[in-house]
Amino acid sequence: MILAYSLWLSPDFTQIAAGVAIFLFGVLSLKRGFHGFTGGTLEKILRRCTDKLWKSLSFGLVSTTLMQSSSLVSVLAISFLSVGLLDLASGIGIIFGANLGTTASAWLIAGFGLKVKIANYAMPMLVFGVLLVFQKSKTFKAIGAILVGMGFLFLGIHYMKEGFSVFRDTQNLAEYAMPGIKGLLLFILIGVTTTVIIQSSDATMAIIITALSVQQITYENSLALAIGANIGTTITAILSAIGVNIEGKRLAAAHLIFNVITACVALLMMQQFIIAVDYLARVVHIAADDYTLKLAMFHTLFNVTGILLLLPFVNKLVQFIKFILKGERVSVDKPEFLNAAAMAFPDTVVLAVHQETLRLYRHARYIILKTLGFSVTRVFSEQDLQQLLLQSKVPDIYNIEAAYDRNIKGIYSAIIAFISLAGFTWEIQQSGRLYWLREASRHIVEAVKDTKHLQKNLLLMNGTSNMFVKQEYDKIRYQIAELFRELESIRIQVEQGSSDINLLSFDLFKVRIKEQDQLMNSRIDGLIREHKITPEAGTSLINDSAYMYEIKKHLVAIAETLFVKQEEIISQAQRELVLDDNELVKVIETSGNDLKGA
Amino acid sequence: MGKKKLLEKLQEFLDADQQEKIKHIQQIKKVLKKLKQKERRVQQKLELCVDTDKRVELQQELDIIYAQRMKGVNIVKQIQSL
Repeated sequence: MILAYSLWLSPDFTQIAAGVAIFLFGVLSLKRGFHGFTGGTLEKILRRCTDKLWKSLSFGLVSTTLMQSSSLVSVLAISFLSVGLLDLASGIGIIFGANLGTTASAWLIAGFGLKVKIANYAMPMLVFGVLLVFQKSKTFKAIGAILVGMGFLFLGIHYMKEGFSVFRDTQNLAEYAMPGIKGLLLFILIGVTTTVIIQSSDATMAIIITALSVQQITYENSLALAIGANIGTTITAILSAIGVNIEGKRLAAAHLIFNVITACVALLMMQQFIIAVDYLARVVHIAADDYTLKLAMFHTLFNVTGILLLLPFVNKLVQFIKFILKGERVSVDKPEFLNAAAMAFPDTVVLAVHQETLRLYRHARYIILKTLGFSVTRVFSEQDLQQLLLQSKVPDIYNIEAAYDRNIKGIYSAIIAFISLAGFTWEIQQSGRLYWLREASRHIVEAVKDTKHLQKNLLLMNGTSNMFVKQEYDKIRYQIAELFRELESIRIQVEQGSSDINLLSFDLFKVRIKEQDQLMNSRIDGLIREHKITPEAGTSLINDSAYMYEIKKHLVAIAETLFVKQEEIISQAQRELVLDDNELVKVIETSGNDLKGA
Repeated sequence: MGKKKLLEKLQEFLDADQQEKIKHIQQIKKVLKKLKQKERRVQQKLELCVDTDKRVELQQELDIIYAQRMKGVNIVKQIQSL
């Protein structure tokens, strides 16, 4: 309401506000343009460019200078950190670099924007940009969005400048300027507030520089505003950190801490900075009254000082942030059977790894069944599985990722490390067993990961009103639980001394799994054909049935190694007789013909 | 070491590949024998079974065992032909 009234009241203010709006629209378009390049190239570059602190600092500097948006770079850094592609120290490096890179905007606006009629450059950019935006190619679209963004950026600056120059004739902001520390604090606050509201330090800097260029504010006030803008700019990072995990929040906190410390230093040493800027301005031949360029220099100087001050303490900063922002304490499961004593003899190593892998399997089994909405004890009870399925529902809060970190990752890593320490020194017999056990562990991890993928649509389709989709997802859940139940019965039989079960027994499961997969796919095709489900739901189902197929294949592969007592020589011969994929398909065809014949 | 023992050792060395082949065939045959026994048991079960679904399952099991046995027989033939 206030804004609308202000716009109605003052056409000059309208022009400034429109300039800000156009500038922000330019920033948005730039972001969209760069977003078009994410999903491959940008991620690869990020990963390669941030493995060392100096690299991440340079990366932040260069990318922000190129993108003209420290917010975009810090938001990207936060998202990368939250998915584990960066560590906190590298993230801080990027933020430091981005803070320095953002000062390039000030130079651009002060040195270039206010001297050249930048609207002249904006127009061709907009024309070519819009033309490219309408192209089919994603790359052209992204380039178009970047050009349009730059065009609006420059156009916005032009309008802000025009607005302020008319404003000067009627009112003089300098009259409100307050001397001394009070004035400094007030203008810092204005800088913070403005940046928080418009969420762009670049836009605030553009306003400050244009206001300064037309003497609406004093040089000292503009310095305070620049300091305020530097603090306010962290708001974008803080907002983006709301939706990410603790790592992302930590980086946003680091951003805030760095910018506040830098601001405090700039505030405390304001006079020294002014003297240093005057001196440097003389050195690089900037006119003494060219306050806009001097402001840009001040902006750069205090950010450089902040970085130089904090760079040696990055690790301390990381520790401090981790101390104040504690993540959810995850008690990671440790291996129970892998110890130095077991390492003494080849056979004990194999036994220890076997036991540990079995334990890993039990954890995975719990996680998978829990994700599918089953109670583990009930699945292995006498209760009818179909009835159990009706009673169960997919839990929407089960955090499979945390469960993986807690119960799988640690043990899996320990098994791999233990095998790599032991495996290569011994005779072929033990090494062979260890090889298969390592494979079994890998299958366990893959099964959990596939379940994680499956969970996404399972949750999405949980509340679907389409009965057919629901039925198919129930089948997915049922078939996995059923396989777990059957494999458990095999394990018990072997434990009770059944000699009937060997490696070849699992071909029966493999044939059945393949058959179920073929059946489900043809059923989904039918449902799409008959318009009982949408093609989108159908493709999701096809993907998820593929995940189910993989999960089941992994489970059988695990059981082959873990559940069967293996005499090495015989099991080698059995392995030779195990049917491959083509042979399994042939069996399915033969069985089909048998049925027709019967 | 006497001449006789030395010759025996030499013979053993020269026949190592052959011995290995024989051992390999024996192992496969051992597995094949077990498979044959299992096939008979499943066949008997199938003959006695009246439940249609169970019969389908048993028939499939038989088909699998048969395919495994054929694979084994082919492997033995291949080893022998080497």
